[in-house]
Amino acid sequence: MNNLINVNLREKLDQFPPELKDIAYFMIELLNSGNFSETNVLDKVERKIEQAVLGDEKDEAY
Amino acid sequence: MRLIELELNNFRQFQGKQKIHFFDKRENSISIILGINGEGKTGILRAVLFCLYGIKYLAQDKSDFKSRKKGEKIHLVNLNLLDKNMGTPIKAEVKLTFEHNSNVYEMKRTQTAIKYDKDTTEEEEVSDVEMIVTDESGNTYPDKITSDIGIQKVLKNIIDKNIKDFFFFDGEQIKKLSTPDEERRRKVKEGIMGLLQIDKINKSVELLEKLRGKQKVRISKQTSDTKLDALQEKEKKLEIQRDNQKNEIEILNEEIAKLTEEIEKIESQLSENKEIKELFKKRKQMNEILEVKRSALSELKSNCKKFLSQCSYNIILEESIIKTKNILSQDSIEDKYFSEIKPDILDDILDGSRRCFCDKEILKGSPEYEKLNNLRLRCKRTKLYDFVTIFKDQIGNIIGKDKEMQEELLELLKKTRSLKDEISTAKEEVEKINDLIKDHSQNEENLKQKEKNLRSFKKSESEYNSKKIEFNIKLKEIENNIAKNTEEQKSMLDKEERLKKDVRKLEYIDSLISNFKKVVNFYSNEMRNKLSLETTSMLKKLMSNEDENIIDEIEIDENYEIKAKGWDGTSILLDISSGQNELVSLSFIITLAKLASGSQEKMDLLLFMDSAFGNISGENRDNMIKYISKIASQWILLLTDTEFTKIEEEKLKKTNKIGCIYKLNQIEKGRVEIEKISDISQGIAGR
Repeated sequence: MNNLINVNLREKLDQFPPELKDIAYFMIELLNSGNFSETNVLDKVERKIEQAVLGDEKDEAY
Repeated sequence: MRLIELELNNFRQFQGKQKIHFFDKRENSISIILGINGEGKTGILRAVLFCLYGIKYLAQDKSDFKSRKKGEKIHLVNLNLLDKNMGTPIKAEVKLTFEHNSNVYEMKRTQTAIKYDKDTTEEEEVSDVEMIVTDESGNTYPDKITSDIGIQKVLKNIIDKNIKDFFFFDGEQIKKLSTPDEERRRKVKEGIMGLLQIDKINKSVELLEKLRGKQKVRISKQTSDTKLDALQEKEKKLEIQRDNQKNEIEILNEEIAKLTEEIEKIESQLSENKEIKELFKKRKQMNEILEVKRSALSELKSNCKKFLSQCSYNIILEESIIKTKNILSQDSIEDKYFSEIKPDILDDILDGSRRCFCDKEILKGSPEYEKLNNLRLRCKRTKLYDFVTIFKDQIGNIIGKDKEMQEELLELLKKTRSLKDEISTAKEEVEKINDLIKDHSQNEENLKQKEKNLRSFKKSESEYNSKKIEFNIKLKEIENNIAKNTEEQKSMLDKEERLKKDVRKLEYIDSLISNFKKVVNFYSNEMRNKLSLETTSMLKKLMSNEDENIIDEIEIDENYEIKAKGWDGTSILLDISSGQNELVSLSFIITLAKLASGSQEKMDLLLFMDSAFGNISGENRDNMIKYISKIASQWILLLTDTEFTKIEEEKLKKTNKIGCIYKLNQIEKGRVEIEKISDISQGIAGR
């Protein structure tokens, strides 16, 4: 009866460290949608992590 | 999920196209479909489940089939049409439109059948299905979904097939939710975990572990450090050990679950057998009482015998004795045999040895002398005087004693009669106990075997649990070694600047895994606790004041099974009535839907209930109407005339939530028409 992230689960994801929260939400949403294969989810999550790493590097450069 | 419209075409007894429009305004959340038995109420439930999940047989069909002929089938295609069109394929079609999260889903499923002759009807094994999805802006997704797998994937996120029985059900069957069989347990747990999104956390961990492995391989390919290679090699081995250990624990868990189930089964059988034991005990006590009473009776009988042997003559001669006494008491006899002065005294006076009588001198020839002489002459005739006197005294004694004896005898007889009555009641009681023992039909040998099995299962369970603790300690050790190894690798990799990005990526993955793992257990336990607490609270609302205290607490265990506890903490799920069981299941479903929808918004709870009130008593019905109408986003009720009486009509109308009422009318045998009641403000219930 849901596509969105359950409010109770949301509370738990909100307790993730800030740099991980987005990725965690993203991953659960992908899995919830049911529209993507496992490989697809893995690829998308990996890219999301790479973006986060790149963001970290940029932050360090500044 | 909210059902909008159901269209049936030649499905079961619904010949031709017929529609039910469930929903106009969001606030009109209650739809009622009325029909007496056999007019197709369950056909409507069957149509919805057939369209959504391709299900032909409902839960109750299984039990119905047991009493029917083997191999008997449910026919989805209208039998009248098949009869009239022998040899021609006839198609039954169900269209269902529903909305979920602002998307509108249109589903259609068809089933074809052909009748060759009176006894042969063939129905296609596979049904055709399609789904069209339109989003909230009115855009229809270009690709129609035509595979059942694809459709079930969509439905998994709306109402998963595994837990469909939580939301579409027959009221009389719903109690089975609280006592599911082994096969259903796993599926139900899976479904609930899906509904609460616990499965998504587990899946995330599983996928991130894969990503981690991939990332490690990537790093290992880029480094030439042999020490790092060795560490990675060691880590691989440790991971294999960890996985093996996890598998072992999983196997143990399965074994423990099986044993627990066996133990519960035997304990439940033994609890029934406990009743038999109690009955045996009671019978033994009753037989002992019977024996005591029998020996008391025998003693009493012997007392009676003794008494009669001593006094029976009294009873036998009672009449003659009384007669004799009466004769002896007659005046003539008195005159004949008795005088007031003893003859000896008279003789003494008359022969001169005594001269005085009452201070008066008696001289021979005097009138007193003559009087006494006459008296003496009369006395001479009473030679039987002594005998009669003794006889009379004896009879007097006998008659005095006779009364006492009679009273004693009556007392003895009274005691005997009362003992005989008590013996006969005790015998009846023993007979009753014997009948009860027969009914339970378990023999003592069987009991002993079961108790032996129970002991052995409990022993194995305890051994497995100790083993599990041991395995978990070992697993923890391996995981600690992996963590240590990871730290070592990390510190080595930190030194290699060119691997910095990949190492950082690995750190992200590790942190994600560790955070998700923390959530898994915590979230799952929190959900179970919430389910337990809120199901209990909902149950108290639904139950009447009288029933409220029967169940003290509902506990949802780690397999998401319902346990009902009584005031003393014992499980009472098997002891409560069908109606109470239905309320327990309903409370669980409502709470589950509440938690699944998140508690901040209005609950996304669809309840489609066939024979909703069948087992439910008055006050509980009122509570159901009061609370479910407030909570459910849609409540579809299929009711018979006894479930929708003037009382229920009034209560349901008072909620101001009835959107539509339909009535099922049987036109002819095997043909039912759906009639929409245009003015629902009028009185509808006939009873």
